[in-house]
Amino acid sequence: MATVHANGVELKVNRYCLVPDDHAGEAGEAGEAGEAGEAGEAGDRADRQPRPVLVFVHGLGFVDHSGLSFTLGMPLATVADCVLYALRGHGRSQFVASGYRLADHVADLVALIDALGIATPVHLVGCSYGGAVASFAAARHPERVGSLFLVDPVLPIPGWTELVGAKLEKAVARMRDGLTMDEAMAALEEWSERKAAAATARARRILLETSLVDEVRTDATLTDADWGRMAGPVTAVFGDASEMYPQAATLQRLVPAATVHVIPEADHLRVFAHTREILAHIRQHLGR
Amino acid sequence: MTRDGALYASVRTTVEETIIDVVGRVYWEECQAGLDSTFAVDIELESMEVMEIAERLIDAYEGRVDFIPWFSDMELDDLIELTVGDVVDFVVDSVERSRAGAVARTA
Repeated sequence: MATVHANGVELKVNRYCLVPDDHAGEAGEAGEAGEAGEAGEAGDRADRQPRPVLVFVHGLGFVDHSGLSFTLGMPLATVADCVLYALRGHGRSQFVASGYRLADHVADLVALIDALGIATPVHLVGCSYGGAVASFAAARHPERVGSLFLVDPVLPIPGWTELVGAKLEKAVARMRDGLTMDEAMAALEEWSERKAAAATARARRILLETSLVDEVRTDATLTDADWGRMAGPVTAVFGDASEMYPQAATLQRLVPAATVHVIPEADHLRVFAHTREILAHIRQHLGR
Repeated sequence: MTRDGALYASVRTTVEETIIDVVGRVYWEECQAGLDSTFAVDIELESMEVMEIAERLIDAYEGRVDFIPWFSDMELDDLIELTVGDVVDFVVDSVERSRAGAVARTA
């Protein structure tokens, strides 16, 4: 794991790029980047053939990039140069009291890519709220984004700030009223008290000690023209039992060439357990 | 793999102490964890904790252990069922291969 200074924020980053067995030593070095410079060199040193660069953007609140690292980043490291990082305020990235608008996350993302020395357009994999960040990045920096792959995403379309803002405000209210462990475990669909307690503590910190909720409520929205400016293919995976699923039709209207896959009977949390399917769709998206 | 030998004992100690550094000794003892304990269920580790343990072990073994190819081949169920003993076995195997490679290079 490397710490990269990007846009004034310290971001925790992992980068994975595996090479064939005859370069096992280099693969080891590529797998564990120590400093920003090493993280930037890892992809070049590991393999002389150009690999697509995948940058993963995780969801909001109590998660970070580690889950996606194990389920998506490491498995895809055989076909891509995979960059995963924790958003500001999340995981072991720098905790900040403000700066949680999409424009802030996108500025962090672009600065991170620059700091890692990545000059080619990247393929963004946006999960949940990370889908909003990835979409915003693709609209604002089409020259830096080669394609979009979205997993049960929040799309920054009209109404998104009300939808996400309401959920966050409900969570804040429950925490202020005194959330019990049973309620936390039910909300997180988590059987482990230990994991539920840790996730709740992280959620409490970011929701109650930052301006995140206010900033989401007043954040920007992409216009139809913004979606039209995006370069490269767009693929999305939705769970048909997810609250995000109604956006699938909107995405197809905004990006007629988008490919949309649907996982039956999967709600927003369960979609991410379908890792085998998601990996297959990402490989197809990359043409690998 | 036979579970004996000085290397195995040393690695087991390092792995367990690394886990303890992350979760705390009190919790480790409450878990009554052993080689057959799973990270996800028996020790109830979050993915960020497993990642931290892996990175500390990479540092401890100075590049002789690379978890990434190993993890990259795992399905989600494999990750959920991953045990302390699996990690010890993997580290022992990695260190032994590294030693064999060093001997071959100097031969």
